[in-house]
Amino acid sequence: MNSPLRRDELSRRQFVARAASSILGVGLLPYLLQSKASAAPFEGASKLKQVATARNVIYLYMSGGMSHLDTFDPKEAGTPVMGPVKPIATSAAGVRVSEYLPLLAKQMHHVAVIPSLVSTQGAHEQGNYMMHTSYALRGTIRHPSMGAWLDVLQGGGNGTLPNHVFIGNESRHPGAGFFPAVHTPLFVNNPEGGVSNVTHFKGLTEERFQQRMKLSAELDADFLAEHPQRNVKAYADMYDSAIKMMKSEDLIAFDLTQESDKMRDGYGRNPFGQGCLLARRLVERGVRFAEVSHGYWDSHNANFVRTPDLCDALDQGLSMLLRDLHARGLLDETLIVLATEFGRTPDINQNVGRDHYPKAFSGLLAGGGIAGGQVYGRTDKEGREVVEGRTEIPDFNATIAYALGLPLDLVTFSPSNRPFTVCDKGQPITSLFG
Amino acid sequence: MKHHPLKLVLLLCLCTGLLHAASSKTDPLAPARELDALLAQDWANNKVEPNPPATDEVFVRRVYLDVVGRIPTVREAEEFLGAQSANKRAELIDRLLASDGYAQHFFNYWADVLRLQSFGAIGAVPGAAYTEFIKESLRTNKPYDQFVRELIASKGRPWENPAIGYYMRDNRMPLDNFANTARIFLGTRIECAQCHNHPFDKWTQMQFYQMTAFTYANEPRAYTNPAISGMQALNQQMRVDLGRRFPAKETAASPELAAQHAAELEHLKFVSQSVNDVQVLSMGGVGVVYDDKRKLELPHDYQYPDAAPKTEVQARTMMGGPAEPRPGESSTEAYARWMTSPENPRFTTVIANRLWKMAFGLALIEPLDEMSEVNTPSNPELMRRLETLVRESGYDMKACLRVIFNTRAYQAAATKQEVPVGATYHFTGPVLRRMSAEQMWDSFVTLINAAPLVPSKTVADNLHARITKAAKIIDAIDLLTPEEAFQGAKVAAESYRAAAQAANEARFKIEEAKARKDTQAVETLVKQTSEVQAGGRRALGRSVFLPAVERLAEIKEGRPAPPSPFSDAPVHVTEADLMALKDADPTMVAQRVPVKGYDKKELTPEQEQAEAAREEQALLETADYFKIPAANRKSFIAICRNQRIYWARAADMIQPAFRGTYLRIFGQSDRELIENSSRDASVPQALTLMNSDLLLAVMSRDSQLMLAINRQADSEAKLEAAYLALLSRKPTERERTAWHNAQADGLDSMEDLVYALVNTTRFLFIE
Repeated sequence: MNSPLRRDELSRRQFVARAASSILGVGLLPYLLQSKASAAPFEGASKLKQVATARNVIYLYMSGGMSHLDTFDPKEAGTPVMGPVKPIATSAAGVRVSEYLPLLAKQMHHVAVIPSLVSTQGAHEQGNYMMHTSYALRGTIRHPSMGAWLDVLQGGGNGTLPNHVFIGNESRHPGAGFFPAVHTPLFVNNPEGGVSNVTHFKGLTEERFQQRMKLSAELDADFLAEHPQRNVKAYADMYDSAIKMMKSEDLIAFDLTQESDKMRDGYGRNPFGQGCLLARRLVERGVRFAEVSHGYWDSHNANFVRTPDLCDALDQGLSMLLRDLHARGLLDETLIVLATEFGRTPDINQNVGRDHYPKAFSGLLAGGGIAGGQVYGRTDKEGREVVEGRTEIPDFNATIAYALGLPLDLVTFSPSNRPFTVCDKGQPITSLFG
Repeated sequence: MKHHPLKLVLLLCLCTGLLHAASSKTDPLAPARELDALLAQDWANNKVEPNPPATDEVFVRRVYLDVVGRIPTVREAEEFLGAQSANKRAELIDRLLASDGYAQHFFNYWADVLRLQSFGAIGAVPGAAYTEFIKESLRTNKPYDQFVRELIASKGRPWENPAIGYYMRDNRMPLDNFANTARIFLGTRIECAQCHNHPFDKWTQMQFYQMTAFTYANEPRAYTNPAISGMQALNQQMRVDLGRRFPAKETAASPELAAQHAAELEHLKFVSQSVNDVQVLSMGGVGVVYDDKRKLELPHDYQYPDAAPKTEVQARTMMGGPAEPRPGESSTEAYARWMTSPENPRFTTVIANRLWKMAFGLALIEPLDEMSEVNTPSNPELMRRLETLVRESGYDMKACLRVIFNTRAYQAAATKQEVPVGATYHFTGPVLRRMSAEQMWDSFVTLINAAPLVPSKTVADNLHARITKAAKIIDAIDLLTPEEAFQGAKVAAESYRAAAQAANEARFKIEEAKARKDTQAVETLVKQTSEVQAGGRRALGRSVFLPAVERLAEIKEGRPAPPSPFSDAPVHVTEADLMALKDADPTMVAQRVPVKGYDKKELTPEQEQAEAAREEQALLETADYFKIPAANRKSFIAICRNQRIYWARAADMIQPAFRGTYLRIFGQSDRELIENSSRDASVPQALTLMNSDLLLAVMSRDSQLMLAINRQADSEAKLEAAYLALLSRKPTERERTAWHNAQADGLDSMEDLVYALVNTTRFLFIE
């Protein structure tokens, strides 16, 4: 029973897959072989599937561990765990947020809050990895992030722009995991800096560039002809794609100066706000997964100085993003996710800080088919324990995948022949959908 | 193979000893011819034609890339192509193997295999030490079996035994560590069996655990010493005393007592934090401890009938003979000996395949780390011969490579057709390969640096400083009495308190500023608060680490220790005091206090002068070659020195390079997984080669490439220089014509040609 596929059968599969990939010139097929005779570990994967309610994802990652009590799971004012922070009412009946988020409070009718997230990982790297992949960090495998899964399983998108973009300075990201490097997100460190190396050197005219490339092709012709190999050919193709990208009208997506000052101010003149604006511009042009990182939320010290500062940018950026997407009619097809690696301790430490707390924390989902103005799950009066709607990270991610119409029970093999699913055994929270 | 084990060992010792001693002098051509004969037999049997011999031009570029990891300079190419010696290929191979470039190139390879990170999860100090360890092992051509034994049997502190990086890299993941060991050194994929019996191979989960049990006692763990554990005990005592002085009932009854208790409790918290930080910051010396009390158990969900879940696992080898510890040997040491024994069924095969693949681009078993009963060598006789070569050389990597590089097969033209996955390749020549990321980078560095490349010390010195600092700190703390360490921590605790108070006050100031809509003030206050917050920790530099290191320095100089600066005198700390503390890392004080026996030996002024004179001489010689006018020499030398700093080789940089850097764009591994580097084409690569600053540096007038071109007067010679620099050959007639036509069409500068050539596919490939 522990040998679902015989060795020779696997070799045959591999052979067919590799043959196919050599014809199509893509490294994608080998990973999409589905095994119906899947091994025991996948019996728990969800069979649920729906027609996609979301086409795109804007994934906001609060790096360092966002305090749940000071943001989306505030308790009664005066409760010792709240320190000086008070809850405020929002545009959604029965939904409260902390006073650090006054603008967002007016948009909560678009948003579903999940204050009942739990994680098994209490360290940053491990927590971040699990939130991005649904799997625990291991030394022998890299699991793909959701953007990579989406790119592999559905593709689509713009054609000239990469399908998967990461905006921010956070250095941790699982990227394409075990999928080919082509599914790695394009990393944009500074949203106002644009994409590197997409314009000619100063003083190099288009005409001269063309001449140089023509000469280059001439000098390369015999080498290309003599070496009919895939990787050689891939270089020729890659130049075509690169030049196509340099000329792409869509590169303007990265030029935030195309937006009015009012719009840019509205998102907030800080890396997160401008990152949200860039994400919107990308999604508008067909990019399917844009992640914006924000933080560092690791407030072991001076929580009530650092957290409100981070909340200011979050409040302005996210509330504007919701309004803007809504006004453009894009919110229905765009799922906004807010995630973080863990929450922070209800007990305030001697440094007026909060420490890591994976036992209960908050995430948000909005747009893309999610019914706004609701709360799924609940923590106790001090935000210590989840008492209702316990949501593990794979469940949260399965909800995202479900919205995108990704098959949660598809067994995919890594190049090392290990089988994986999109969200491990996560079960989507279907009641969140409107 | 039913030899008496002892006899076999004796025999092997004899052979390896003899051959090892002789290996550097023997003619590498004889064993190379043996390999050639085996290949010829295989070609005849399979009716394949060998590739024609490679030209000297193809050979020189290839062998530079394969041995020292970069293309040759114009001078190096000219020198080889112009040499008349009949043995010039063998001589070049020897010269390159003996150069530092060998260590650089093979370091990049092993860094990819071993997932080397010089910081990050491995820890900054172990990462630094491990990086240098790998490089040094290659520099000294340490026998491969010894290198692996040192890794597997490593324990101790990073500065005593830098090989512990092997365990630190998989800190808290001993099961993964074993899966990686099996793959890297035994060519066996067994990670599936970590959670269940291997579905496609014979390995069981039980075997996985039995093998892990050998090294399970090797645990990455924070070192401690009497000062630290004593200080922690005093802290604990303080907690106990507090509880005793304020009995729960009485304290609750009296508001006065309660208030006093709360105040003292708060003080205790700051002291505890300070004590904790002293411990954490001193253990840059995290190391690997061998603790045979640590026993491995089966997982709670173990599902097979041969044992119950959570039973203790006894170490047992999964292949070959047993690994019984000899008297005085730990289980890990016995295991390391078993692993690297010439009798191990897979150990030698794997390294023989690695070396072969480095030269030919493919191994005899592919993938070489996925050996199994069905994945066997394409040419078993050749495989056996290579294994014998490795064993008989005493695992001398350079000696083996020397033989392989001297085969006619290696020195043949590359195979033009792609070898399909799964097809048997008969090694009629090397396969065509794209340069690795590091080969690309180092080739660009070669094109840029006008003067010959020398190892860059910038990062190495930095890594060394990290290690020295950690060693000083732990040894210095060791000199304190527990009382002194505790007093120091208590003094710093006042800074922690002040920082917490500042954070509290800042909140109100920020709220006020917000009410005034003074965003500037808010920003300043937030920034200031985060500065002040670090003040608590920073204070440890002054109150604990500095006096400890000063004491260490005095003692190492043979002077009596200075009187203890520690006291119980109360201190008062203000916010201004906190702002004045500069070191973000309080252990930095150790870097500023020289301690005999720890810091790298400084050169004497005479030595320094001699060193500088030598360097200047070499640079002047370069200036001569490039015909730099006398008036420009000074600035030329300055430029060369700058180039060496800014354009250092891949192996001399932080490992791995940061995301988004050229090396990573070219496909350097992120070092998260074994051999995770990529040689695939990507759009950012094309964009880099067309539009980046890297290309501007290559085309700048001070680059080796442009100097070599401009050293020539007439245009044909310039064209030839460009081809020599980039492709180690002269242009063909067709290429000359293409360039002449392009010139007629308006491309009038050599930069045009360079740009076009760098952007050809052939530049990136190793023919």
